[in-house]
Amino acid sequence: MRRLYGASPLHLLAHLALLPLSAWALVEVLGGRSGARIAVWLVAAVVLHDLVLLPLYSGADRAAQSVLRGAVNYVRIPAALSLLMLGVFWGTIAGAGERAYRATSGLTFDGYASRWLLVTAALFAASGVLYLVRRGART
Amino acid sequence: MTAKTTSRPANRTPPGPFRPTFWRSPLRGPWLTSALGSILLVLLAIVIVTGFLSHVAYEPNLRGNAIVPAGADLPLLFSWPTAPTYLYAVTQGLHVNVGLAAVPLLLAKLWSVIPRLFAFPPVSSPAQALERLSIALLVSSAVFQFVTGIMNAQYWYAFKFNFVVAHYYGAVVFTAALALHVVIKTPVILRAYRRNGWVRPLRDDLRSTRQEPGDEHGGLVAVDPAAPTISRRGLFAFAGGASLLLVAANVGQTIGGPLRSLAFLAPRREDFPVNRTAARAQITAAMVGPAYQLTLTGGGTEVLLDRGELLALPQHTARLPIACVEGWTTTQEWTGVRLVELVRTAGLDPGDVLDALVRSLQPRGVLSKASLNGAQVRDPDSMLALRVNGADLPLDHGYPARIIVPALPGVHNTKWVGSIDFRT
Repeated sequence: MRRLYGASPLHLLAHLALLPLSAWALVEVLGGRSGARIAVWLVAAVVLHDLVLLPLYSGADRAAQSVLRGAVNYVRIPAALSLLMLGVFWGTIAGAGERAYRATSGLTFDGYASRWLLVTAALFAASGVLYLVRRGART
Repeated sequence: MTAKTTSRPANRTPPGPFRPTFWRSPLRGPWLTSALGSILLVLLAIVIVTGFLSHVAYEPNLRGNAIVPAGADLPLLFSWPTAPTYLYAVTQGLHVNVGLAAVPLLLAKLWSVIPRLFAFPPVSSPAQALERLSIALLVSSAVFQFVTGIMNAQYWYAFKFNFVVAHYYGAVVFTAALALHVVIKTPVILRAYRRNGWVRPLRDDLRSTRQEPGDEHGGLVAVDPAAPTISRRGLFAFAGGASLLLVAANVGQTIGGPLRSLAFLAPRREDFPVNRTAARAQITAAMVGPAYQLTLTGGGTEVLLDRGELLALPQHTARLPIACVEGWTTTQEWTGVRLVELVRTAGLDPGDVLDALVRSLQPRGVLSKASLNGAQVRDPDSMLALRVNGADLPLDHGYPARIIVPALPGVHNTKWVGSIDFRT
């Protein structure tokens, strides 16, 4: 078994028990309305994360390390937190969801970009203070 | 160590990320991936369970409620209760906020295993081929679920497909692929914990951060490590801090009260949000003017009641939350006619009611109608609300009359109610 298949019988049974469940859901959703569009999003999800987002932030991180060396964490951590907020709340910060939101609630997404910038400034300020305190403690 | 010490000749391995020497972080290893995965698993279990509970809460087996095609979903095991009143506020608040908390951990987990995407040769056995297929489904459905869920909660409908249908089946793909992943990886995880202890690697500061010993599963521990730039506990603090920040930016819209104004990036920062304006629902002044009549059917003869007649029936007041699938909640004091009172007015015994189909005056839209189950109709706090906080309902909140049922998903509390059909 192990020589021909490459793993234990449990490995095979687990796949044979659970992959059909995933396959059923895929057949239902891809065979239904807008199935082709959903397929594109499913493929784009993994491609954009693994081959675009991750290489981008890894590359930026390497560049930051070569410039900042020992102080890299004081910059990359607030920067990453800020970009994470921007990405996760793009709908409100950049107003991407505003058209539907206004139709639904009669309101607009006001002040989100300002608050994101203020929180970003606060994160970098806190990081700067921490850097000064720790450098002061060392010297 | 260099690539030469691996069993494959370097000249047959493609360059770049396919070479083991490409991946240099000294933090990667079976323990790190197991620890990130263990925390993530707890969060994802909450998100998955509350997600499927939301599907149950929408009572898709009742008339007019199904959005996922009826009979093409998993069997429902129970009908949604009315107590505690904040049940859906809690389950859906957890779904959205724990989901946000999981984002940084998911990103960290995927970062920790990225070298395995570039394993070479790509497939070395039938078992590995199956496993890579299941991992592709897992990562794809995970990113898909998070992206569509977060976009939907912020009204960003750039996907041109039905969110409910895609998110439901996406959840099935994801849950099955995750369960499979946990089954397959449990021995690897346990071995990593046995070798490194549960949390011992967190004791190392930056200076004492070393590579993990042992990597017989292959591909995670760097063969040519760089010097560490952050400790493992630093990485966990980073990811955990990011989770807390995302939750802090949003959770005020779920909890309400003074916390609401602190939810600095949440879509719903007002105390009493309007889910759909009357203008958007195409409700006109004529529809809700003096000519308005509520139609009750199911009791043999049709009963018509204008708003004055509704106000003349016994009134009930209760403080109840409306909780939206998007994760926001608002609690208000509602006054109106108990649904059981309307059942009797229609000439029926409340004990006989199986369900009630409520239709809005709004001319179209998926949610212009919704059915309630028998227990929801019979709950003493379930009402056709006519007033809120001591005043007539505002038009945008459903004047002249709207449904309020404890623990019911927000949009099923139909506004501008035109008719109710009781089925016995």
